[in-house]
This record gives sequence, structure tokens and C-alpha cells, in this order.
Amino acid sequence: MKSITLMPGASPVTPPDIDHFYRTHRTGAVRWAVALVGDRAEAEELAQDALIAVSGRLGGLDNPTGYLRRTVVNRAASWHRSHAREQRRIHRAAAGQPTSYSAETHEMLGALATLPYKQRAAVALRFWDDWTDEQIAEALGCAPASVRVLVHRGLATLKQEVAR
Amino acid sequence: MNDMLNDTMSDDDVIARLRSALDEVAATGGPITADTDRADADTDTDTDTDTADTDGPGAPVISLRTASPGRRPVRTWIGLAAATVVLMGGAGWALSQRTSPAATGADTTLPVEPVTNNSVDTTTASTTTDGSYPWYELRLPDATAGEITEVGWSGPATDGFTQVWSIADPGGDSQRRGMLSIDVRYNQADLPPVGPYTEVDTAPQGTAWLHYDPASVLFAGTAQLVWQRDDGTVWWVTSAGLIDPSAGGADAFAEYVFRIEKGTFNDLLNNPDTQAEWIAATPSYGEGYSQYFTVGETSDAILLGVAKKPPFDLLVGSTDITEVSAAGSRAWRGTTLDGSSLAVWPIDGEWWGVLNIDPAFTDRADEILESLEPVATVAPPSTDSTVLGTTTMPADEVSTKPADAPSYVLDDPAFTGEGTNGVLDLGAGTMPRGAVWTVDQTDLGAPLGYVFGTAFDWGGMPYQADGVTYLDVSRNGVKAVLYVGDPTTDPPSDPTVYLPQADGVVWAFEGANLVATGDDPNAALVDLAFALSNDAFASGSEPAALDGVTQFGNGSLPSREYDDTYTTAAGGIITVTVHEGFAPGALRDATEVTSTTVLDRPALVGTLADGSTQVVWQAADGIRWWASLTFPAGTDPALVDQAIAALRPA
Repeated sequence: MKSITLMPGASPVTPPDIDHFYRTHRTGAVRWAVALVGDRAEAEELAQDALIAVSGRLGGLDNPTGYLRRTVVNRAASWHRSHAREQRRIHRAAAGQPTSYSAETHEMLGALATLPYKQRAAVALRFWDDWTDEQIAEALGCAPASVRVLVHRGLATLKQEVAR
Repeated sequence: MNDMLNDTMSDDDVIARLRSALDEVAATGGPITADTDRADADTDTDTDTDTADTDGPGAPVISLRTASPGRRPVRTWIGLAAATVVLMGGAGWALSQRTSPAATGADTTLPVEPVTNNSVDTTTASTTTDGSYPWYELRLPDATAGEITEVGWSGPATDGFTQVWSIADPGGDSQRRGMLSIDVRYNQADLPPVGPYTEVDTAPQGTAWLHYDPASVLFAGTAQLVWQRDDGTVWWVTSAGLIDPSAGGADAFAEYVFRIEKGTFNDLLNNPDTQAEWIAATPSYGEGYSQYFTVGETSDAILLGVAKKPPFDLLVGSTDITEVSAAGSRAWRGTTLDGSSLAVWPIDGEWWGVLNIDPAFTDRADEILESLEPVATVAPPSTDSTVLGTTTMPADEVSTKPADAPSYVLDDPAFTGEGTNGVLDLGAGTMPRGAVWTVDQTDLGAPLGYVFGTAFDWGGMPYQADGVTYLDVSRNGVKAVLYVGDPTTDPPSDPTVYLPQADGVVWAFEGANLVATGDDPNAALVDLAFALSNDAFASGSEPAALDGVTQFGNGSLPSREYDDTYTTAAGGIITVTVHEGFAPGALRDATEVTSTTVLDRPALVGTLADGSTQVVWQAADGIRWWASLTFPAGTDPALVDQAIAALRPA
């Protein structure tokens, strides 16, 4: 319910502020999104949207990086929920864009896809991008202790899926 | 075979493969660089929202039964809990090893059904979505762990939930905490409660019975109140660390409980005490696991457990409850009547942890608590393959779809079923109730308008910011708020009227496609919001008495979705979704909404912002089940009609 959590109006930010934030964070944002959606092209789009959204309210944020993390994680969750992504996948495949990975990578992406979103996010961000428990917890909106549980559950499931 | 493979693979192996795979994905298309050409393309505002956990009402209140014999310190504690069970009509805890249901020892007087390995109720209630549960290691050098054992359960209640508050400063001691736990039961018979209860003549409604005995060995400092309310629910109220064991203390407790009220839109409870911090309202399914530890030469010195039942009734009799930390979570610890140190903590909104320390080791309580570490979910105990094979190892996620959930098929050769996409767990949001009204604007030459109503217990009013206006009207002493919306967001946010209610609930009415009839573009929404707020949309049975306004339906907290996918000859994908909870939220952003009928039920058809088409209808009577059909962008409307006509109950 987007309108129930109104934020105060953001302070004006200048184009150089936005440019600096964008340059500083784009690489990270794309990496996070890759971990969350398992697709480079989708990750680029998702990160781009998140960066632009966060850039627009830089003046009102105490922790823009943390906010960006959360935005990427939230948008990736929406991406997973969206039926439209199925259409994009089909169209992209039909257009012959590169989606061919090694068998091991296909297998791991398939295993990741079996995880509930929070487990996937916790595992991928922890072990691939070295987020701390606190960073993951902040992005997922849960306690650090819950992150550890998510990581352990996710790893256990991955192990089963890969062995399957 | 898979298990063998699984056993040979270490966490490090999996992590290495994960890193390799994501490295490969990230490398596709070259290195990631800052694409500065796009950086200043847009500066719209983000609409991501926080999603604070609010647990909804759930299933049965449980009673965890008895320990195996020979565990003296813990068994003493269990005996206390068992006595509570007796007094509380079977609402309390006691632990059981499933492998020895006959060895129930002290609990033979419990008024509960015996645990049987083939019990249908046990099997059903123990079902989890993935068969896993949170667990901990006790990293204590001199502690030896026993086996993890599934805890048996049964209970007299068939449904309900438990809501818990931590209450600061009881008796003027800022360090202490009191706990208040209320089991809300929907189908409670056999009242008045068995035991030394006295009817209270000050109940504002219904009938209440109180037990309080300051001379009691067990219950000094603790009172129990059973309140049968006019709405048919029964509240079993347990206090811990709250009662001043003096004359009048229990009466004050009863009066305290009588000020608590049911939420406006659901059965969650609102406690007006500003010192009371709401901890959780937890579904209680009854699943649990426990493990004993030997410390030095002392067997059963520590009991570690997890369960889907707020275990605060274990703290009855404690007068020294303080807030501590357990494995990174807030926890509450007190001394039980046998001198054990007992800590309880919520784990993830569903599970609770319990740590009980023998009186001989309470001087090491801090050390023991600090040694707790969350670990990987352990495999379910193998001591009862009949139950576990059914309840904890579902073949796939589809098996978790409730048996009473509606199901559909598209019965037309034009659509090829591709199977299910499994379960989408939406988590718990803050919205306990939602409703939609359609507004006929034919006289204004306009298509259908609509209003989405949502109700938030503990929801905040928007504070002063751009686009927020306090209306010159008030409800219950608090001014209503109009948020005029923000057309610059993508999609644009709609104007919304917030109406605070007397019990702290905030109702929000969001308008869409409403035609302005005067100078004020939001006048129609304000008028509708106030009119609709007089309509008990929580009941779902009282249509709005407004000309041209129709209540399309309402729903409960959105929780899960179950998808089935179909393809068309042209390759388009159609998704049939059964929603557990309110579904029409996506239509808020629709560019156009029209009415139709699906299986003789009223339905709405909307074109969403991404061009896809969604058809939404209430799938069953009541508020729980909704359903939708989703079509990709560009779908021929004739195909939508064809799919609607092909839809059959499965």
C-alpha cells in the first residue's frame, strides 16, 4: 500500500549529486540484482530503476546506500512476483539474446529459483556479494538472527537441489 | 542416492558453485560499468514501502505434552506447566517425546487428547510449508547435546491465535517486565472453566471467570481470566509478572483485561495501555521440537526448544521477568517457580524459542544464553516416519495448498495447461482487511470509478508533508487526512483519505478514476470515504447504502498465492491464481476497470500499467479466497472472454 507510508518531501538535490551517487553505486546495484534475479539483462534494468528512484530522493535519506539496497531487494521481489517477467523472458529468448550458461550455472540458477525469495536473497547476497547479516536484515526488513536462519535454510535447500 | 550426494557436499562446495554461477551470469555482456547516459534520465520518487510484520490470526491453540520420565529438574518445570494446563483448560505447555507417548508421567491428568502417531489432527496441524524449522546450537564447552525430538501436541481448541504484550514497569520497577498472553479461541465449549474460578460480575460484556490465589504455591503473582465474549470468542488470559500479590491485585488485573478490545477489522486485540508493547499475534499450529543438554555430570540441565506457540504461560509465577537477548533476538527471562531460569523469544513471527536452565546453573544463565547460535534447519526427527513422512516432507510446494482452497481449470482446447508455479508466499503485511467499491459514473459520462478501502490496526496516519492536508472534519477527536496523491510517480499515486477510528485503527480510502463534479477534484472521494466509513465493510455482508456504489467484496490479509499456468496457441501465457487473502490490489493502478461475471460471481476486469489484463473475483463466500486470471499485454479481449467462459471449478 504505497500511500500509507508517506515520506516527507525530499530536499532538492543537484545533478552532480545524482551523477556521483549513480556512478558510485551502479556496479554494486547491478551485482546485487544479478544475485537476486539471476539474469544480467534483467538485473541491469532493475538496478537502473532502483538507482533512478533513489537518486530522486537523495536529499531526504540518511543512509542512501542502505536505502538503495532495500530498494533493489524490494524491486527484485516485485520482479519475482510479476507475471510480466515471463513475457520478457520469452521475448528475449525469441530474440536470440544470450542466455546460454554452462550446465553448472544453469543447475545452480535452477536451484536458486526453488528457494523462497528471502532465502535466496540472504544466501546470494551473503556469499556472493559479502553483505553482512545486518545489511541483509535491513534490506529484507527482518532481524539479523532471522537472516542467519534464512541463510542456513537456503544453503541446505541448495545442497539438496544441486544433489538432486 | 540424492541423500548420499547431499551428504558428500559441504557448504563450502555449494557456496563455491553459487559464486561461480553468479560470476558467470554477471559476466554475460561484459563488465558492469556506470552507464552515465542514463543517470539523469529520470528522477521520479520511489514508492517502496516498509513491510512491518503483523501476524494474523491463525490456527489451533496447542498443548505440548509431557516429558519422558527421569528428568528431574525439567520435569519439575513441566509439572508446573502441566498444572497450568489443568487450570487453563488445556491451553498451556508441557513437552513430550513423540517416541514415548505412553511415558507421560506427571501429565496424566491433562484434559487433552492423547498424542497418537497416526492422528489425523496432528498430521494436519503439523504441516509446514517446507518441513523445516529454526534451530540453535548451544556452544557451551561442557554441555553435551541429546537428540532433537519432535514435540507432540494436541489441544481442545480448533482454531484461534495467541497475542502477546510485554508491559513495562509493572509495580514501578523500570527493569522488570510483565507479560500478558491472550489465547483467542473461536470455538470454545465446556464453559465455565474447570477449576477454582470465580465469576467476575464486572465484565462489560459476556461472562468472565477469574482465578487468583495469593497463597497458591503455583500461582502467586499470577492470575488467569477466562472471558466469554458476546461475539462468541473466548479469551484465555494469562499474566506473568503483572499481579501485585495483594488484596485487589486480581480485580485490578480483571479490569485491565476488560479495557482490551477486539480490533475493528479483525480479531487482533488492541491494548490501550501505553506501557504495553505489542510483541506478536502468532498463529499456533502446534509443531515443536526440543533437545536436552547434559552439563558436567548433570543430565537434563538445559532444555532447548522451538514451537509454534507463544510459550509465555511457562513464565506463570515469575515475578522477575526482564528483557534479555537470545541469539540476537529480544527475549524475556524469568525465574519459574522451581527456580529454573526460563527465556522465551520470538524467532520469525511464527516460531518461538524456549531455553530452560536448571536451578543449579542459573548463575550461568547469561553465559548459556550468549552461547546460543542459530544453525541450519535440522532434518526432522526420524523417530516417527508415519507422521513425519506425511507432515514434513511434502512432495512439492503444491501440497501445501489448503484442501478447502478453490481450484480452477481452463476447460478449452485453446488453452494448454502447463502446470503449477507453486506457492508465492507474500509474507505478512500491515493490512488486516481490504475492500473495493465500484462507483457507477454513467450519469457523468464516465466509466466505472472505484474506491479501495484498507484498514490498519496500529497503522500510522501520514504526517505533515507535501500533498497532505488535514481535513476540516474529525472523527473521534482526530482530524482526518487527505493525501492528494502524486502524479509524478510511476504509476501515479492516487488520492487517499485517512480516517482514524476510536480504537486506533486507521481506515484508508483510495480513489481511482473518480470524476470530479466541482472545483475540488477530491471532493467526491472525501464524500465517499466518510459515507463508506459508516458502512461495516469488515463484515462483508453489509453493502454500502449509496446510490450507484456497490461493494464488490472484501478480503483478509493477503498471504499466499497459488498459480497455474496455461499457454495459448499463439504462445501467450495465462495465469490462473487463487489468492489466500485480498486480491484486487493490483487494480489500483489499472488504467480502466470494467465489470463482468465469472462463474456467476461479480468480477472486475482491469488493464494494468504494464499492459496486462487482470480479471479478479471473490472465489468463495467469506473473506479468505479470491482468484484472478492474468493475461499478457496485447491480449485480444475476445480471448479474455473465451478464457472466462472456459473456467471451471477443478
